Amino acid sequence: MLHIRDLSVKYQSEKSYALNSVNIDAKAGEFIVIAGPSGSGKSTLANVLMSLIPNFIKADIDGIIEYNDESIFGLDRKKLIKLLGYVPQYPSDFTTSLLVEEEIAFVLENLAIEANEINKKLDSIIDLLKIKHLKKRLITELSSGELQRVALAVAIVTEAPLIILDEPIARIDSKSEVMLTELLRDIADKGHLVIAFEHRLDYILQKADRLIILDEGKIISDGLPKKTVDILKNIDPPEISTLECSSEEQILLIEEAVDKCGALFSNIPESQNKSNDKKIAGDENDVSVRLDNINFRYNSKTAMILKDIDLSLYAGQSIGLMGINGSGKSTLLKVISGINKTASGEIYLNDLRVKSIRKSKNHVILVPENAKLFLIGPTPYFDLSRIIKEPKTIHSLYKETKLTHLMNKKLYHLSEGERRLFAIVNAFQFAEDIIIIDEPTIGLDRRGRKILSNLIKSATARNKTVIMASNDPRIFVDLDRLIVIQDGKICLDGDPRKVLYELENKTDLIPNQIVCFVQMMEEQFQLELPHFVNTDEVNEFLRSVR
Amino acid sequence: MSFMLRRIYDGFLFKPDRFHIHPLLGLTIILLQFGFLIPNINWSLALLLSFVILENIIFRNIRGALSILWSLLPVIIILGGLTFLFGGWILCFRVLSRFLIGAIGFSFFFTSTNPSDLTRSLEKLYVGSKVVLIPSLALVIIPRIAKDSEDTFNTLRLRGEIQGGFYRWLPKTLAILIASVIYRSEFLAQSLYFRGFGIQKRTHYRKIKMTWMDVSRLFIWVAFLTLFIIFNYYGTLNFFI
Repeated sequence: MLHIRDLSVKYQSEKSYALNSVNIDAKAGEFIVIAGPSGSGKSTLANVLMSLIPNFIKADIDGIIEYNDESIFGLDRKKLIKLLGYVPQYPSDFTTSLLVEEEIAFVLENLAIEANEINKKLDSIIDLLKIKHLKKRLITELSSGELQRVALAVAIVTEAPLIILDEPIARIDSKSEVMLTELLRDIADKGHLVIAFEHRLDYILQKADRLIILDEGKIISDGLPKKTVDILKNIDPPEISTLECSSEEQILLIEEAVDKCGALFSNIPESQNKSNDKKIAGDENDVSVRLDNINFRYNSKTAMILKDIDLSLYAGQSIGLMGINGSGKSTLLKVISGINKTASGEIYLNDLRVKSIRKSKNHVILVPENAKLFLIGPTPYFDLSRIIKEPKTIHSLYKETKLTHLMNKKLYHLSEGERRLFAIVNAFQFAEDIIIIDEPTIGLDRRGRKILSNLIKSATARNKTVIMASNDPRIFVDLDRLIVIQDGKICLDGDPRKVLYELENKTDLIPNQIVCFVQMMEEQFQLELPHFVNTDEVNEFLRSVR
Repeated sequence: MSFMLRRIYDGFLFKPDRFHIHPLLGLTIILLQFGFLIPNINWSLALLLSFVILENIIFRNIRGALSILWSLLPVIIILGGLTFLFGGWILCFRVLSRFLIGAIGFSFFFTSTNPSDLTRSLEKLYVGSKVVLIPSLALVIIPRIAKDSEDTFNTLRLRGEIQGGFYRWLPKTLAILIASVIYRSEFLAQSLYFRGFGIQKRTHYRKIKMTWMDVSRLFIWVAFLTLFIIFNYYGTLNFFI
């Protein structure tokens, strides 16, 4: 049905190929996940499939893309729209209307579908994606996760046989991640060909039929997720797949891991059955951020988004913010930055009362969700040279983070993950004491997350405060503190180990796969296990009890 | 500058949870307002300004109108000062009242008119789809550009890239605005392409009906027109000269 033959793509100003002899055959009803490290060519492939390349982005293309024996490049627009549904990496960039229902109806109106039919489709898609509460909301006021669901609604409302999703999970919370993957499976089962380009593979691979791995523009693996996931080990594997329970085929389901590891956990020595919770790091006498009874809303007509927030964050502490989409994470970050003015309450940064950005700008550096807004072009090197004047220091910094080969690339030629990584690396070089990062993991592979983790460690060692909001629970396990926001209030606050283990009982969220695994083990085998938060800890433990 | 961008966003953004005005009525009235701005009649400008303010009060767009005025405060001060210095208070009044009517009138139009409904209504009048989408997209894109620019401005301000007085940050702000316009336009073009805009005559999933709000607004404007005709019949009332 879909045939990609010897597809090579080279951006006109680049020397190397972004995609090199890519061959894919796919049929209706398949759910394919395409993974790979940042900059491996995933977005380029998505853009070619969508014919954004060469229609909007100039690049040289060789090879064939055929759908039902018809070349995609030769299709007229009406056929193209009926064939393809697309969820872009930044859904907010692709909106044309003000209201959610209008955004979904727009494409149907353009296809001249009758009003009754449009309204029926609108209702059914809104029910399917559970977005009834968003129907009359303004697009500009949706959280990124909510927007992601609206973008998916737009993509599937035309019942296009081919659905392409560029990082559909990057901006959604973990519970929505599970829901979305089930939904994509259902869509595929209805006969659509679903192709998702994704980094967060924990749940999506459980439901996928095929995993294609790209590296440096080439397909290095194509097959059943269970059989090929091993290749992702050094790129971006699902947490549960790296458990050393079984030497046979890889594990993708938590339940399966519990079954296979159960025997190993049943003979744990008494001494190992202890909790490994730790005290929260940071000097309690050195408060870098203090929020006193903060209430925030966008205007007097709307409900409070943040309610009675009392919070003290300490110097030398790394803090994670977690919450379902629209819970107020990004809003809280903007309040701390002085961007959002509060309805009531007071903010102190390093004991200085802050009422606006004018006062906060000497204390805070903010990397927003859209990393494009942070970097000043034309290249990452140029951006960093505005802070660090010494070229040798810049070179050694990028050498440490293994980014030297990309530092002189034009910003718009970098992938989303690469751009974000540069924004994060550069942000940590500023003199400000408080570093705030919104959604740092979007587009980042395992290596990128490792670099981020090292930067955080080195910053906190220099007594800086790092605050991050993310939907990816994996990033929180190395932090000193985790705060969960629900309905605009602080719901949980403490050591990430403790908080992640309380998450499912006390909030609408679910923790990372390893925490789910340990909890399931405890429940099924009536055990009391240490609070493991990552696979390294579990594997080490398993080795010790074997 | 950030406050200006935020106020432009607040003052020009459609408010779905509040009243809606029939888009054709809104469009007619905004065109009428512009018609009344052309003659140099002081009393009609004063009357028009009072009506526009009254309309904003009645239809509860006080916040939107104040947002726009607040965002334009530096321009109002400079414009008012210069016209007063070089042309006296009558010129100052004529220029500023036109400016205020335009700003507040547009704020009301933007906040109460759904752009998609405007497109649908004009298409029903057999105006070409590609033509009618221009004002509709403008209504969608202007608040968004203001928001993008504000986000960029705040991020760069925290980075210490925007510092100093008016003359130092103004060129940078303009650069941010231009970049935001280009950025939005590029993606808007892609989006319209993939949503099939312009491939054939569109259908409309929603019908727009006249509401009592529309009728009352029409009443205000009929009253204004009547007053204008009566005053003109009995001779121009020179309130200010």
